Amino acid sequence: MPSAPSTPVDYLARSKERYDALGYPPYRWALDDSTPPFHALTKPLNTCRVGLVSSGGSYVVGQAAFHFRDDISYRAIPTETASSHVRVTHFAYNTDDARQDPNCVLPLRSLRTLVEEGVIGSLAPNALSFVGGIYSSRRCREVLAPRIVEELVAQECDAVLLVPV
Amino acid sequence: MSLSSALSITTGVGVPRTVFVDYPLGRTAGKPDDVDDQYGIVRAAITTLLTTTIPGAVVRLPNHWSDDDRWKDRAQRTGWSVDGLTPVVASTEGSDDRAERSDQPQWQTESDRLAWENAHSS
Repeated sequence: MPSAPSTPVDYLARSKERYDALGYPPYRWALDDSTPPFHALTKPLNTCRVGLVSSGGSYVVGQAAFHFRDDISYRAIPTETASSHVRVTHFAYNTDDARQDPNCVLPLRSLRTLVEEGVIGSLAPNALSFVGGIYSSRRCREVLAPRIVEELVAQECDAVLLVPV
Repeated sequence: MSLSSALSITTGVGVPRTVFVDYPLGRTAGKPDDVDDQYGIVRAAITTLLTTTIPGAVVRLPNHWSDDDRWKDRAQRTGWSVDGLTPVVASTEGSDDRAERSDQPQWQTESDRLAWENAHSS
C-alpha cells in the first residue's frame, strides 16, 4: 500500500543546507511575491496550440549538447521527434531515468496522445529545452527568457507547458 | 502552466498554474517507460487550463514515486545523489558530487558528438 501523502521536499532549505556545508555562499533563488500573471483561455482547449518548454537539458541527435558552465542556450526540438532520438545532458540532476526515457522531462509522447485524442488542438512545431542551474538570474531573465518567449510567440502558442527540473 | 517537483521553488517565482508531482527531481513528467503515469500527469497539467481560476493555484497529484518516502529525507543531502535515490561516495566529506563545470558540450554518447560533427561539417 502506498503511504499517505507526505510533505514535499523543501529544496530551498535543502540547497541552503548543502551550500552551507560546502562553504559556498547562499544561492540566491529568484523570488517574486507579486500575484502571478493569469489569463483565462479565450478559445476551446481542443482548438489550442500548446507549446512545451523544459529545463531538463534535452537535445536531438545532430544538435550540440549543452555544456555545464552557465549555458544559456536552448534547443528547438521538433515535437514529432521520436523518443529514441532525444538525448539528455545536465550537471545538476541524475539523468539516468531521463536518458532511459526522455519523456520524464520532455513529455512529447503524452502531448502527442492528447492531440490524437482531440483534447488539445495541436502542438507547437518545436519544443524548447535548456539547462537550469544558471547562476545569473539576470542573464536568465534578460537573455534566455526573452528568446524563449519570442520563439513561443512566433509559433503562435495559445498555452505553454513548463517542465522545470 | 507548469509541472513541478520542487514546490517551494515554483511557488516562490509566481507561476500562473502549477501541478505538483511529488517525485524525485528529473522525473517530473512521470516515471520512465510508464506511459499511463506520464499521460495522467501531463493531462492533469493541461486540464488546469479549464479548471483553474485563481492565479498561482497549485494542484497536488496523489502520485507516489515508491512505497516509502525515504528518498525525500536523502534528496540533496550529503552522501546521496540530488534525487535522494543513489548513495554517493564522495572523495572528501561534504564535497560537491555534481558534474564539473565545463564549457565543452557534454554529449550523452560519443556517437552524438559524431552526429553533430557530421551535421556541421558541410
